[in-house]
Amino acid sequence: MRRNSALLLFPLILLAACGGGEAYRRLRVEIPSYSPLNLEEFEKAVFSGFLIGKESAGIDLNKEISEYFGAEFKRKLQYQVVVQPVALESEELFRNPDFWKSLAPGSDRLLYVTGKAELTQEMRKAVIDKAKADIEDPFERQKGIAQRTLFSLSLHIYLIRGDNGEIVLDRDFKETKAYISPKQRADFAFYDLAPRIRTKLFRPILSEERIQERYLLLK
Amino acid sequence: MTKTLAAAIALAFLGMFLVFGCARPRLTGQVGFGVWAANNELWEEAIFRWKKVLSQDPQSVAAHNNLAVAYEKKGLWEEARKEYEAALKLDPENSWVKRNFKSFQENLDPGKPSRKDKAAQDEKE
Repeated sequence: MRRNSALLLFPLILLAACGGGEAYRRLRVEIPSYSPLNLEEFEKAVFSGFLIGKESAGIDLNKEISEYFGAEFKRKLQYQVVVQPVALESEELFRNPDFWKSLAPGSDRLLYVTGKAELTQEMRKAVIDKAKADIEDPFERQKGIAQRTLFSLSLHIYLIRGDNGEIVLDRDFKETKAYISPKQRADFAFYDLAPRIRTKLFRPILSEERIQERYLLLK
Repeated sequence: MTKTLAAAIALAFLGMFLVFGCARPRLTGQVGFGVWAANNELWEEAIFRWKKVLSQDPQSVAAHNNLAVAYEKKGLWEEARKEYEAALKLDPENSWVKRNFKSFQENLDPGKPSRKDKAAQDEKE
C-alpha cells in the first residue's frame, strides 16, 4: 500500500510541476507620458484669453484661468508669463497660423496659451426612499429629496507657437464636482476643479511618468 | 523501513528537481533573460537580449512585443509603434499584444479620458 502510494506520488508531482506554465508576465512599469513639445524651445508663455461659453455668475473666468495657470506655467516650466488678451471672435482663429504669427512677428521663443472655457452650474435632485430593513428598525423610513449643486469646468486648451502659428498641443478637459450646499460659490468651485485639470495638462507637457501595466511575452 | 525511507528521499529530491525545473515559467533563452532583466529594471540589457532574438528569429512575436514595451519605457514612441505593429502583423489575435498596443495609444493621446480616469470620475459623481 505504501509502495503504491509512493508510485502514485511520482506522476502527481510530475504533473503539478510541469503542467501549464505562463505564456506572459504582467509588469507594472513607470512609463513617461508623451510630450508633443520641446520645452527648451520656449521661454515665454502668453495668455491671450479664452473664448468663454456659458459662465457662472460671480466669476471672471478669463482672469481666474490666466492667474491660476499662469502661475503654474511659471512655477513648473520657469517661463516668463504675460497676459496679453486678444480679440477672439470664433474658434476658427485657433487654427489660423497667420493670425498668431502676426501678433508678435519675429518672436521665436514664445508660446500662446489660449482656447475655450466654460464653467456651468446645475442643480440635481433625487428622491430618497430608504427601504425598510429586514430587522426591526427603531428609526422611521427616510423619505425626501436630496439636492446637489453640480459645477463643471470645461477647458479646451491650445498651445500655439509664436513663430509659425503651429498648434503644439490641443487638449480637451472636463472636470465635475457635486456640492451639498445650494449656495456653493462659482469661484470656490473653480479652485476645486482647476487643480485636477492642471495635473492632467502638465502630465504630457512635462512627460511625467505614470505606472502602467504591460504584458511581456515569455514564448 | 530503510528501503522505504531511501525511496521516499529519492522521490522528494526528484520532486524538488521537477518543481524548480518545470513549475516556474522558463526563463531560459534570450527572451526569458530579457524578461528577467526588465523585471529588475535593467532595460538596456533587456533591449539587447530581445534585439539579439530578432537578429536570429525576426518572426518572434514575443521579442517584438517586449521590445516595444522597453521602447515605451524609454520614451521612444516611434520605435515602440513599429515593434507593436510588427508583433500584431505576425500574430493579429494575440490578446496581450493588443492590450499593450491599446494602452500605448491611450498614452499618446491623453486628451481622451482613459477608461480608468472616466470610471474614477463617474464614481466621484
